[in-house]
Amino acid sequence: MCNNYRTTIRFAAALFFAIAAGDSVWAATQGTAGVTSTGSITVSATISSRVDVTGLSDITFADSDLGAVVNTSNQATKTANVCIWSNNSDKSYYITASGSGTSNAFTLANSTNPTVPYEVYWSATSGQTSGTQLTAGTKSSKLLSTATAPTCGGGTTATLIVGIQGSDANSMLASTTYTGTLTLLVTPN
Amino acid sequence: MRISIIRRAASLAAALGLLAAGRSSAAVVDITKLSDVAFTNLDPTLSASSSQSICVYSASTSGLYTITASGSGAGSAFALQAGGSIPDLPYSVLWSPSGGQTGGVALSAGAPLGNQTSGALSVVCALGIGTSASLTVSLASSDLLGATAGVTYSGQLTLTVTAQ
Repeated sequence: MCNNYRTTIRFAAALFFAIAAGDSVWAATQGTAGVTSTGSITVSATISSRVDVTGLSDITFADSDLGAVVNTSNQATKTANVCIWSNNSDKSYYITASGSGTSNAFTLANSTNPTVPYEVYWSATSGQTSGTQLTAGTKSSKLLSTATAPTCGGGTTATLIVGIQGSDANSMLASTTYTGTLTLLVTPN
Repeated sequence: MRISIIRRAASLAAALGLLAAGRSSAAVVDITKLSDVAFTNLDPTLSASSSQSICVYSASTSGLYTITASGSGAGSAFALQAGGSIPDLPYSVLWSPSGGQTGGVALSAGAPLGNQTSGALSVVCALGIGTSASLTVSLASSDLLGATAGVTYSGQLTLTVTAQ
């Protein structure tokens, strides 16, 4: 009788620790010879965190965009709806934006003229005209996506906003093209 | 004296479990050498598969048998569960009546696949070839991309062999 209790306790303890450790209580079982024979296995899978940023388009500020803010305290902005996908259970992600200026600064350059700074804002919802300002080279706080698949099935989940202050537009020379590259790094953790 | 030696040999073989019913007797079948399958830290952009060589013995004429596989998903579907509101992760099962294969015929959950021939000479393939069939479990990237990271998906795959 005592041995039976011990066996039961040992089995219960083993079961408890197996569950606590996240192990499956299933394990491969072999068939036995007979008219039919049945065996079984446990199939398990874990998946690494992955993210994806898609739907990006180049942004161009036209003369009409900048002319409207020159000599004002206003800011010319351009928005772009993009897709961010994360397979984290909460669909979380982080974004780090970097410009092509010195030390990853958000600046537009011309071969002979001084650079023109710009600002970058991010919203974790698409279709927005404002968002949280990003600092060049600095990882954002945790953001959440709603996408259930990479490329968002053709939809969008976030808004990228780029702005040029009127005071900075003042220094831009006419008929001169300023360009820069904005890199967006999305990470799952 | 001669009879005695034969009996001793038969007893020894029986004790070792090497002899099952002969193919002219009752249609005994056996499936063994199964191993669990664990896919870890999968890259969801890539499909994954795992193959194992197992032993299927059939004492029926010509070693014919039928294999039926069932998963632990709804309706015996081949699907892994992570619990909560996380959708199941489907997988596929391939079967080959030869050991050492990485592909085969796709099984449908609960649907028997007949006319499979075993080359095993004994249960657990103790005699002759060590394995007589291959089981492949595959996860498609298209399904993995919809799966959730940081959780463990798990399910049971049951294989039933019937003499044919």
